[in-house]
Amino acid sequence: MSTDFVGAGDNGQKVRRESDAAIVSRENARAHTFEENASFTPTVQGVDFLERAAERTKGSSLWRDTWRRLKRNRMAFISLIFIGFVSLIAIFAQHIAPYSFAAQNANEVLAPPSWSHWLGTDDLGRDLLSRLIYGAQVSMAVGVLTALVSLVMGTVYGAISGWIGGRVDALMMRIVDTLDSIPTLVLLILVKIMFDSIDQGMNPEVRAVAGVLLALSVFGWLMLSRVVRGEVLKAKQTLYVESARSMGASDRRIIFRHIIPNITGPIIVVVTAQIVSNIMFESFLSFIGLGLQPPYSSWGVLANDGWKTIRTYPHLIIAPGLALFLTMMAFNIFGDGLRDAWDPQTKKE
Amino acid sequence: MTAEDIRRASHPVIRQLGIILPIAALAGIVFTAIWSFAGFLIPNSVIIGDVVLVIVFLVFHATTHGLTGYVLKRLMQTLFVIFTIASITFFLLRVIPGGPFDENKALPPQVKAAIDAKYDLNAPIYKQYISYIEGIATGHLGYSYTYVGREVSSIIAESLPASMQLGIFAMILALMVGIPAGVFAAANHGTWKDNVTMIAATSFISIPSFLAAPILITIFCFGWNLLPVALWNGTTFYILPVIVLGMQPAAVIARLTRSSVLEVSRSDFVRTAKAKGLKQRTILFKHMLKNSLIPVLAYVGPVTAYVLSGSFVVEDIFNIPGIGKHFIMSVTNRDYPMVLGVTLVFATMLILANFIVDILYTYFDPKIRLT
Repeated sequence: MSTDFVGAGDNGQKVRRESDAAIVSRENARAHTFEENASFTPTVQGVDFLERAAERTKGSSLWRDTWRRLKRNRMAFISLIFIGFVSLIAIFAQHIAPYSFAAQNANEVLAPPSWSHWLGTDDLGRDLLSRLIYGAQVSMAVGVLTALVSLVMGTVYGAISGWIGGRVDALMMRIVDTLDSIPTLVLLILVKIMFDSIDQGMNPEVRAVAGVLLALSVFGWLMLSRVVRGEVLKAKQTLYVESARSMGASDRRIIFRHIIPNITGPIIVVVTAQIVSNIMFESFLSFIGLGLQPPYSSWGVLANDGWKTIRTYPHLIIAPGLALFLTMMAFNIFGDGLRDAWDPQTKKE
Repeated sequence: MTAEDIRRASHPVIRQLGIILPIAALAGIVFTAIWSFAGFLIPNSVIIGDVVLVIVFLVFHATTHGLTGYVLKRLMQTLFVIFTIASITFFLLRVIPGGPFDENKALPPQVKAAIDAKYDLNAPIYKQYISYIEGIATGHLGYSYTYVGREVSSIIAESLPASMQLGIFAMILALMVGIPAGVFAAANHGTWKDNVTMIAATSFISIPSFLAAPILITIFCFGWNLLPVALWNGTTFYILPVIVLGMQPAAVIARLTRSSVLEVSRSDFVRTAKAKGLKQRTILFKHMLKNSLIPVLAYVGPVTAYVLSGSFVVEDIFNIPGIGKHFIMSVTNRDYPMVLGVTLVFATMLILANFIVDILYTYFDPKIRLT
């Protein structure tokens, strides 16, 4: 089958289209076989021809190409499956966990692993496996939700800054620079103090996570806004933006309907990296006692609990540490694979 | 004085200053670090000497490469940014309801008034702000709420050295392990050696310090009884925290070095060198390494600042009396002057590190222009 490459469209979509000659010759061949069939009517041939041609030229989109390359990368694919597995556990934590995260059993304090408690219990008799499962919920929620918030904030901020340009751009980027020169953990903690003292009348369960969430979202968008701004600056020079503008599209429409869909690749790569660092930061915050507070469970809280009994019961800290390690590893490998799959040109071979 | 003048100078030492000065500065820092790692107390004069060496090198490089204007501009900007951060954090902490002394509800009004008067909390907020900024300008960061009667600056001065030591050791370890590992992986590109190195690097990036630390402690402290579990009193105390803190930067540096060495190895000047029949080693060390260190530099700047200012988690785990621990304490105790002071110190370090890295860019790659 002869196919020729029509070329990358302005929006980067690679459209593979069979050459007309090839289609015509094949259609003719088919028409000949059809001629033996009585139901075939030559008058419909033209319409039929076009329809079939349209069917056959189904483009291989950028997304599909990426997916295909990602599937070929075995490590990245296994990581993706693992991430999906952890996500499922996180979503259905309430149904999977054998015990509640706060249920104490005074008869079984620091019990070794057994049939009723697969990973044993902690110093208050709480089931470690259940706490680990609820911890997955918090960690994944923090990772994904903060990434979403910073995705929206960073994209909008960066797009506006890059699109308007000039003095507004300089000012907006100076703000980002200033925020960026406060070390991340310090900024996190400052926002956390603020949040904790403002909202006194909230549902404690929501409040426990919300402080960490907000704190992580506040700094998370900085890097993304830089990336988006750079990409928007580049996109401003392209032909498709010029043509959209010449057709009278509004600024908002150009930014959100034309530019942003075209810079999804770099955005996704940054956001994946963001999820990794957010999960890590959450557990660090909780570990040093400034994040989530017990009885709520996150992997950092569990590690902090386990630290007290490291000498006698090392499994209490190894288990959450291992869970975090495996998740981080999966996200890192998947992120690398995604970057390579998205843009094979930049793959560092 | 321009680079051209230096090149034409009569004395060979002057001609080579561009190499002698950075090596001297680097050697000074490494020597001091080894000396201190051996458990000796470093006299202040040596530390000042190191700083002077670095500054001399930076000034020399800036003047000979026409960067003086840029450096002055950046210094002004730095002052402005520090001022902005100080103001923002000040107002953020004052605006939020609830003060550090609200916990004890039974506080008699007289006592409360006395405390407020002592810490100057009755004055209108703009007056507090002015005195606060004045204090920063003169190096006074106010009095701590929790350590009664102690100045924040003296607490910082006391706890910063341990954090700096830990950070410098960890960074040296990271560079010493990371760069060779990256070059090794790139040199064996595509083989199992490369794969093993990269898998190891990815796992070191993913391993949280509260998993690495317990494993190492269980092996070296409880199992073999070789090293102490915590504290910061000498060589044996330094080993584990430095490994735990340096592990992740080392892995990132290895990955960056590998990819940038591979990129450089495809460039024209390397092909020329190969065509000339130079030895593999000469090409690697004389032609490629300096060029491939630029992406590494971009990472090393901020991470040095982060590591120097004390990794909170590692200091917490190993109970090191550093500044990170004080910061956590001050946050839980709502010791606002302390929070403000530590934030300022951290921010200053980060800004300075980025500044130095920007100047170093032009050293490693003269084509880069700073504006």
